[in-house]
Formats: sequence, C-alpha cells, structure tokens
Amino acid sequence: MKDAELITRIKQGERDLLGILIERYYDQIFKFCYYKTGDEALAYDCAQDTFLRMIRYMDSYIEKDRFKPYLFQIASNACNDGLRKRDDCFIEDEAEAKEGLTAAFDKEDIGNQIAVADTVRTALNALPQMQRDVIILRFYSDLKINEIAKVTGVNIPTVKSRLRQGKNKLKKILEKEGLF
Amino acid sequence: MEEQRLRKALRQYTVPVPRPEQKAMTKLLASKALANKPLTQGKPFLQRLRELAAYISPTTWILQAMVLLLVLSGLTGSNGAQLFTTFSIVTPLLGIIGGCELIRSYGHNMWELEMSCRHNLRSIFAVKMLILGCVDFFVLGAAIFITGLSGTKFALTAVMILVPFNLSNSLYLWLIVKLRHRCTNYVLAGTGVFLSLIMLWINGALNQTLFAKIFSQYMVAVPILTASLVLLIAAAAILLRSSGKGYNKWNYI
Repeated sequence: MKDAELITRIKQGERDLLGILIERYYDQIFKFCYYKTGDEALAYDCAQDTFLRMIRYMDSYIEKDRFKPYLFQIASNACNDGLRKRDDCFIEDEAEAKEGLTAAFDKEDIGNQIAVADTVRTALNALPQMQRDVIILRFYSDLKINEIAKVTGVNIPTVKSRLRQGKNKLKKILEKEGLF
Repeated sequence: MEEQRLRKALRQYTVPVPRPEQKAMTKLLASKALANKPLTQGKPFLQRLRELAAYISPTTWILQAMVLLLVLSGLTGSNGAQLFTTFSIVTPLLGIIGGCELIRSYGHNMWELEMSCRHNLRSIFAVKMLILGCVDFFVLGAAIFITGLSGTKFALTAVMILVPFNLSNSLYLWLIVKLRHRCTNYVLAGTGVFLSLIMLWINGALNQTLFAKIFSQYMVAVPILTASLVLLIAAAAILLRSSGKGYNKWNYI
C-alpha cells in the first residue's frame, strides 16, 4: 500500500493502519535522529516525538506531497528542538557516546570499529549544522536532492552547494585520519 | 566514484538497531494520540472537487456528450425558432443524467455507509451537483450561443432554455429528497419526458404557426429520440445493476 493511500485511510478512521506506517519508517527516522543528535537516548525521544507530531499535524499534510520528506522534515525539527533543550550540539560525555557506539558493533574487532566510527562521528560534528543535515540526509537516509530541499526548506541549488561544501570538508578531515 | 568512497567511509559510523520495546512504546503512544484526535476535513476544496470528480461515473459524461451531439446534429440547417424550440424541449432531459448520478448513492443502501464516512451525504451531493453543474453550464452556454447566432434575443433564449433547465432540476431534487431510496432512474426519466412534453405544449401555445411545424416529422423526432435514448440507457443501467454487473465506485473521501 502506498503512503498516500495509507494516510488517507488513517484519516478516514482506519486507525489500525498507523502501526504499519510506523513500522515502515521507524528505523529510518531513528537512524536519522541518531546521526543528527549523536545520542541514542535522545534519538529514541526524537523519533517518538516525530511520530506524535506527525499525528498532530496530519490534517495539514496534503496527499500530493511525498510523505517521506515530510516525515523527515518533522524529524529534523524534532531533533533541533531536542538538541536545543539539551543546550548543546555536541556530545559532552565522550564515554557515553562511545558506549552508544559499542552497541552498534560486533564483539570482534570492536576496538578498531569503535575508533573508526568515533572518527567519522567527530568529522560529522565538525561540520556546520546545515551541511551536516544535508550530508546525513544524503549519505545515511539516501534521500534525493529535491527531497532534501523539501526537508531542509531551501532550494535545490542551496542543497547542492551545502552538499559540495560538506563533502569537501569531510574528505579533508577523513584524509587526515587516513579513512579516505 | 569519489562519492562512493565517501559513502563507504561514512557508513563505517553505524547505528545501533532500535530496540523493539522503544518501537512498541512509540506505536502505543501514537495510537493513543490518534484515538484522541477527531476526524477533520483538512483538505482544500479544489482538491476535494478534483478527487470527487473521479467517482462520477464515466457514463454520465458520455451520456451528456451524446445528448448534446444528438441535439446539435439534428439541428443542422434549422432556423432560429426551431433551434430555440428544440433546446427548450430537450433541456429538461439533460438534468435527468445528473439526477441519475446523484441517486447512485441510494443503490445497495450505500447512502448509509457514505453517511458514516468523513463527509455526509448532503455534502457529497452538493459537491457532485457543483461538478455536474459546471459541466452543464458549458453545455447550456453552447446551446445559448448557437441560438444566439441565429439572431434570437438573449433574454428570450435565457428564459426558454435556462428556466426549464433550472425548474426541471429543482423538481428532480425535490423528488430525490422526498422519495429518497425509492427514487429510481425510471422516476426521473419519466418526469423529464413529462416536462419535455409540457415544454412542447408551451412552445406550441406561444406560436401557432410553429405548432404545426413542431409536429412535422423532422422536429418531433429530435426530442423523442433523445428521450428514448435516455430511457434505454437508464433501463440498461438498472438491468446491469440488478444482475450484479456494471460500474460502481464508491466515494469515502
């Protein structure tokens, strides 16, 4: 069932279909929130908040728009609010951050994997927020340029410009660390 | 190529698998939030018009086009008075098509289901009438234009075409409201034919000379043919529906 039909039927009262919608997008939204916030607990909160806001604003969603960028836009705003409440843009407790990373890997070679992931995370955090958002949406959430434009609320040339600048900065940082 | 390498490097920063209990909690809270939320319209009116137009049977549009073409083809070479008379006789029949489309909701008791959905039946009727009315506006506009080309005064044209059209539609709607699910295509078609005969009589009474011409073999054929066609198609639609076949698409939006 396509997203537009799913949303229409949920609006018409088939509330059981909401579970299907959440199942379809939860992992992607959580992943996006994790990359944006860098904090597992905050990512869970932001993902939950995303879906609650989606329900609150469901009436204003017009079916002709694609649902995925709309949902990611909500997630982006939820993460920004979450980060603002936490009052910082970086993870202050490095040990806590690494503990979160540990959960993502297998036991074997965990030390090396954590180090690499930590390097990439630090490189991402070194980018300005606008470029970081575009990089996350492009490389981790696999959104197209026009979808990223809808999520970030800017036009396509601006997205391309931020993507180019973000990629250049990331390459330099990762080259220094020997990962590129 | 470079983008692929960058993607590969970035993908080394992976995400933990979301915990099932967190997902379940999100689903539970979302369901509660949705349960507390009333169903609202939240749709632009033009979008609603566009979407509801898809639920109007294609037969309706084909019939309207056929009626108009039949009338126009029968009037080739007619003078102003003949055009005028024919249009005023045929316009009550044009409204039958719209009426039949509206009473589709009463078939199979679908009106009960439509009433329980997002938009009530009255609202659905109103929007359908608006769509059909906009199309009929162009059809009648073409009719008035054609009679106008023959030199007939606009005021007279408007009275003899628009008045029977509006009166006949008012009568059809009154029948639909009064009879509700007992109102069938037969009732509307019969009413339409009766109104056409009244128009025939009125036109005859207004112009005694024309009266004789109206009953000429040529002029009487057009409204009779049109009425017969409408009745035939209505009968076929009823037979198809009772046999379980035919096009049915219901609107819940």
